[in-house]
Amino acid sequence: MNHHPGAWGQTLTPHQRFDAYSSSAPSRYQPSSAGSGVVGNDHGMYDAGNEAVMAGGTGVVGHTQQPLVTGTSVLGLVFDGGVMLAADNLASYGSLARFRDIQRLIPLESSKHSSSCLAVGGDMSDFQYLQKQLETMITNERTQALGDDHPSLGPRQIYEYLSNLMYARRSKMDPLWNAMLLGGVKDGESFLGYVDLLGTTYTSPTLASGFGSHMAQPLLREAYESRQAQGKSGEREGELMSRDEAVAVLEDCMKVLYYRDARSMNKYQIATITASGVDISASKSNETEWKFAEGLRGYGPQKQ
Amino acid sequence: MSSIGTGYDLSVSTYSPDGRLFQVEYAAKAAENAGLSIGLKCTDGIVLAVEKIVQSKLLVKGANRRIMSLDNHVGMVSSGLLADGRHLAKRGREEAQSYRDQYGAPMTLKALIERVAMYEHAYTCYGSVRPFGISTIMAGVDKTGPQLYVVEPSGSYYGYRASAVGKGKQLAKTELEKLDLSTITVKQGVMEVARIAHLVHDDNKEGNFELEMTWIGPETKGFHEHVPSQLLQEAEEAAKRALEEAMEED
Repeated sequence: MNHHPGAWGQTLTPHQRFDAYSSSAPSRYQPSSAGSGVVGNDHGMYDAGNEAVMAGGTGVVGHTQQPLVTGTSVLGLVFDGGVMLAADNLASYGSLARFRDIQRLIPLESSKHSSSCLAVGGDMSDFQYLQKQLETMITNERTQALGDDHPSLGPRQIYEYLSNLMYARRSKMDPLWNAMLLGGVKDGESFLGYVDLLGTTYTSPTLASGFGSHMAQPLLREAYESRQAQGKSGEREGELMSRDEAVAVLEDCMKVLYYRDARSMNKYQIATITASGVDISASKSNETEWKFAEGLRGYGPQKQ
Repeated sequence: MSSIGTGYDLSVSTYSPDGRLFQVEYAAKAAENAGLSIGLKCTDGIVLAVEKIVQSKLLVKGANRRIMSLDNHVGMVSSGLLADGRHLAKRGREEAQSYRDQYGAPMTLKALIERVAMYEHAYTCYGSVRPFGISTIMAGVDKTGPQLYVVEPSGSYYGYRASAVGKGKQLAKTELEKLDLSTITVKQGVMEVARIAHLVHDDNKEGNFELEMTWIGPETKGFHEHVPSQLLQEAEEAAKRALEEAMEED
């Protein structure tokens, strides 16, 4: 199976559908009635009724092998004074734009002295489960941190917890089907990190998941690096983008993604995480221009 | 009391002929003789405070905090046996968390106090256990607004606008009664609670003390947090000045 976030929610070609290693685990409830090797439906998407057929009946537990309702890429950027995250408001059901008012940015108030926010793409039910887990852990730690015998959580600690959780789940062959960015500020220090369903982690001043890692990450890096260069050469003060500059870059990236990512929507939010807290903007959209598409084959009136 | 209690105070599962449970009364005594705790319900939040007698000069100042959180929006302080207080707080946290897991919403104070009180009450029903040696103030801000309750070792609980438990609670309560509790804000509450704590405390009898104070108010975004050290210091200085002025008038 193709686990790359860019392939989430895509239908499979017959070639891709051939499952050489019989990777869909057999059910322990139903005795085997059909051999494995081919996903048994013709649309190539998950089919609950067909699970028993897909499974070989060898007593092995079957786990979710593909996401159902998905959110697309999320973006993150370190700026002067904090971190910004962006995600659109869409949760797709396959290629259908099913839920169009979903907030995929969640503020995590772990202590008085730090603020963090999570931006999530991938399976929305796994995301909701994850949110509950995180909030339980954070509330628990926060109540204990009132005493002097327990440290409070910062973004780095939450990131570590998330990474361990995601890696543990993939090691059980039962991953939480998400790719997410965690941004936060503690003691004036900004943090931005990536975790996905494989337990892969990395940190960087600019980050994007899924389709965004192809389309937006180069734009974010370009903006970040040119600002660094200008700062170093003394053309401008400081080496990080201002709040307004960061918003402009993110808006531009969201626009590019909306033009090219068929699972995106022109309605998104930006979370600004600073020492004073997490501010999540109201939903906004970009001006777009589709005139050029009239000349494109398959979009305009012309036939082949 | 020993002559009255003889034979009937060995187990909490035995009544005395006149219908008393001596072990529960002794537990209340343990709570009465410990450092004072004060709780105040204001219009915009709650204030909790505890008087910590300095047991040794070797203890780090500000260490060994006594006020605990049960959930983001609930604070608790108790007078009596410290370990009993910690154990009760642990139970309270578990109850608050399980409520969140089951219903997906923060627990109301009324529901939480009911469960915690029933837990305490269970320790007054069996010969194999001893009752909690603490009086506990539990306060928070839930969907119904600020709330404050006091639980006794017997497991009985009452809601208050303000209350005090521990040594000197009578004097503290008399002072609390003088406040206009229907209009007081947490900012004013912090000043008043500091004043009352200093007024009730007798340096000559009990030695020095530290004042620990927490609150939930407009500045804490609904979270239970320590009162900022600067504000606490101001409140204590104002309290000491007020006491000196009162002394001079006498």
